[in-house]
Amino acid sequence: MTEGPSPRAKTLQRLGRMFVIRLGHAVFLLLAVTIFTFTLLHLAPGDAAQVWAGAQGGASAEQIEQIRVEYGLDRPFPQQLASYVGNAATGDFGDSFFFRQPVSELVLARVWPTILLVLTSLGIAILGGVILGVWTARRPTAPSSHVITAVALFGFSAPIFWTGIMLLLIFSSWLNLLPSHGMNSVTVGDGFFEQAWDTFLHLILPASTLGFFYMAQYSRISRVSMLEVLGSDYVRTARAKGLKERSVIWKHALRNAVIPVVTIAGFQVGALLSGGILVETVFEWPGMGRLAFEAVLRRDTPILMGMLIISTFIVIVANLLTDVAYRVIDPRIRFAKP
Amino acid sequence: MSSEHDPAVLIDAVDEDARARSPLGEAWFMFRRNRAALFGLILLVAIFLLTIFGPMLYENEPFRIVARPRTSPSEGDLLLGSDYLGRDTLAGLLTGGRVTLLIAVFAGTMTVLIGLLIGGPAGYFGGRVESVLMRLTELFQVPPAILLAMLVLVLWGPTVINLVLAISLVAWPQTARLSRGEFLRLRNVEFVRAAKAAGASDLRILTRIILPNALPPLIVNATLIIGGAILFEAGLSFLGLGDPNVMTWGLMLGSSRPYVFDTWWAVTFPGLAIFFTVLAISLVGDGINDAFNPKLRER
Amino acid sequence: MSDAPLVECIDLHKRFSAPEGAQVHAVVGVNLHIDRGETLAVVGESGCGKSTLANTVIRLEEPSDGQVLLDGVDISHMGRKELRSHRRKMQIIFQDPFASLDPRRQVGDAVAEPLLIHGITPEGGREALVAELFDKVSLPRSVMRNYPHQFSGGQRQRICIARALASRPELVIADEAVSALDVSVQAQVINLMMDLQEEMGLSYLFISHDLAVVERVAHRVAVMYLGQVVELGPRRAVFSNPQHPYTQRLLDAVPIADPTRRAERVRLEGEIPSPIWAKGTAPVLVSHREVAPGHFVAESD
Repeated sequence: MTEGPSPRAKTLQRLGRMFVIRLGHAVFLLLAVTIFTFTLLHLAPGDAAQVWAGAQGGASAEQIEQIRVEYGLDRPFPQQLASYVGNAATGDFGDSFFFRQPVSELVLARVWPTILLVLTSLGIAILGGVILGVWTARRPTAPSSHVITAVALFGFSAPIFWTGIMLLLIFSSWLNLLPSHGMNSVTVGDGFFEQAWDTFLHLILPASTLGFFYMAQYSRISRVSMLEVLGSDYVRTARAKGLKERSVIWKHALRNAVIPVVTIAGFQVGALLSGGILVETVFEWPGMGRLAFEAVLRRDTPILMGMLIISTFIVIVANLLTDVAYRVIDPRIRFAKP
Repeated sequence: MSSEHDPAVLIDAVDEDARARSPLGEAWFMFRRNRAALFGLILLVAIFLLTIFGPMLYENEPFRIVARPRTSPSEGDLLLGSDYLGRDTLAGLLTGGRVTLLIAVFAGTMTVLIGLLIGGPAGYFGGRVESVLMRLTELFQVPPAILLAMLVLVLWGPTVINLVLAISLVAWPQTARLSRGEFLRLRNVEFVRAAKAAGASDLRILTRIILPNALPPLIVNATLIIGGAILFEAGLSFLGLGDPNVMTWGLMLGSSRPYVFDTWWAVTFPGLAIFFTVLAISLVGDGINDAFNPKLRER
Repeated sequence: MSDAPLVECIDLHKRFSAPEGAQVHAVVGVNLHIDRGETLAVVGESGCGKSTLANTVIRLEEPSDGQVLLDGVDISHMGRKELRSHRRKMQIIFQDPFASLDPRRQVGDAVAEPLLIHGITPEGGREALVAELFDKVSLPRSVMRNYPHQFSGGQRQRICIARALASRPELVIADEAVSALDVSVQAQVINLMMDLQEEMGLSYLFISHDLAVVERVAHRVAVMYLGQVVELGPRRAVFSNPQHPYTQRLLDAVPIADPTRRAERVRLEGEIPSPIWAKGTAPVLVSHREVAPGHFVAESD
């Protein structure tokens, strides 16, 4: 036999090749979504420049004409498409007629509150879900297991924004415990900790609303994989060695309950963003969702198109990272065909 | 013929008593024994009856102002009070429910049809057909659903028909993936290969053999989609993209939201209506799933 | 009746692509024929390519190379439409009796399906023919309206046989058709198949790993190893006077009651026991030597 590269180097090489394939795929997908989005604008009834200006923009005939020239909407479709895609690649999604500001600036200004909200919700959902899942997996036949199923069913049956409104009614209006809208109170002082605490108080309700929705689902997933692991040979071995039940569960089995939850969460960023739009609107949280709502009110097409492409980009990046991380962590699927 | 008189044949006697029970009958038998599913079915039938016959029996119209604005359920003659304009909440619930359910059922049907047409051939034929169709599916699956639906409704205008189309447009990829998986699994099952070896055409195999066997999971999926469509319609209406001329539960929620602190009932009751309807649909869907699941049937 | 064989495989190859340009050589240059009214058994361990051979003969898999002649006509490169008329001459029975019948269809309809596919309306109607087929496989006519889940494995396999016979085929391929059945039921189904052969002049391509079963049903036996036929001859010759070392080991392995030894795979020394070949490589074709009339053995040098 001839001397080949070491198995380790070969593994890395394969992982690298897989990553390149995935990356190419991601770029292709983003391009396709951009083309699709712009094509939608042209398939829609009405004049593109008029649609672009927005229904409530109150644009005059001259202004419409100006938009038409400025964005090249008078040129043939392939040229327009090429220029939109080309501009989008550099982060230029045109200007919002209503706000009179570039779309990218508008979205960028709203990205951080959304990320704060989504990550906090995700944290609540994952932490709560895993704890619930592990807790009920220890006694699979106890009533608590049925409670999880029931909670999941209930959580998925109510519109998420309605749950938010109900929480708002209870905790903000009736009990007067938490602030009802926005990210900061106008009365708050300038100190960093003071502001952070204020933001935290504002964050509790929206983050719980969004987090609760996914917590139920994650608890089911972690419960299932936990049950699977607890029945497996190596956990039985650990038990046979005389390890305490608690350390068996938290040290040996937990990893296996967390990995599938984190993976699912990584592939669900799109759904989280969708839920976030509704929750942000309820609590008037100044993020991307709130911007989307404002754009809808003004029929501000450039903003919606830009947001669709930018959020698709976020989703694709999250999927890519999750996929790669999962393959690195779990050797069983490392060599599965991409 | 020797085997005709083989005593083993007698031992291996055919169970003729069970003759009448078809797979469908078997599933119904299982479904009936599932208390949660039965509860869901009864609830669902009740909701359907209320929304079909309710508006005929209850004279108030949903858009007409019939009382002082913000009449709470306890003060006036209206059972569920009036909203910020003085419109009857109960009338809205009954008439709005009808449209809400119609939108959801149409969107669910359409979603399953699109998903089946895209995912079925992808799973059955594999190869290039599959990679093209699944790329297309991915293209529709990656953008956040609500943003895509919002853009479509802003561009085409929020009408009931466009709502149905927008919901189907963002929901079908899920069904397509499911159909692909089912068709892929079934294409290698022996009874399909036997038909292929006997010379059955692809069309015959797809429609007469694979489709009936792929139906149970697709029906369960359809119930999920219908439930999801009710929630999604509510969300879009809440964002101001409901059809302003047609009362739906979502439109009630959306229009009353700014006044929630003064008219909690106008927001709470439509939400509860959505909640119980979606819950009933989920329970029925779970019940169908269990009834058709051969693993559970063995027990 | 002509003397030409019913089925003839000429230099038949089937390759599947594997990751990184490698190829699975499942069937490698197989030459064999089946006469009318004859049972040819193909034996070998799992993975030797015998099932792929069956699938390729009946065109469930497209052959990579070579020809399959049915009644002297090359069907291996026919288009779908042209092939259809030839399909009715050959049918297949699979191993798993629980997966072989559509669970949502009454078994009578399942048996009638080949008739519908080929648009055959027999004298006296389809119903009557299906009833007759139920008689043939010793099932009461009264169960025609039952569903598959109401039958045992052996009964299902009888239904599959009835279905296979519906279009009056000349060749029936039995791909491990009795392997999943209990021994007593196995005997019944084998008896039935042999009776039907006598009655209807059927030819069988009988794929099995079970040498005891093969010894009962086969007229001739082909032994496959890594996609190639290493020994082919009349049943008696192969069983009592095996020439190829692989055949000898296969036969030696049969009556062993010790389960630890039985699990050992029979393997030829000096060969890599895998049908997967890296990019640019291919297995060497063996040549055959006729040791007795009709008894061929792969030459091992």
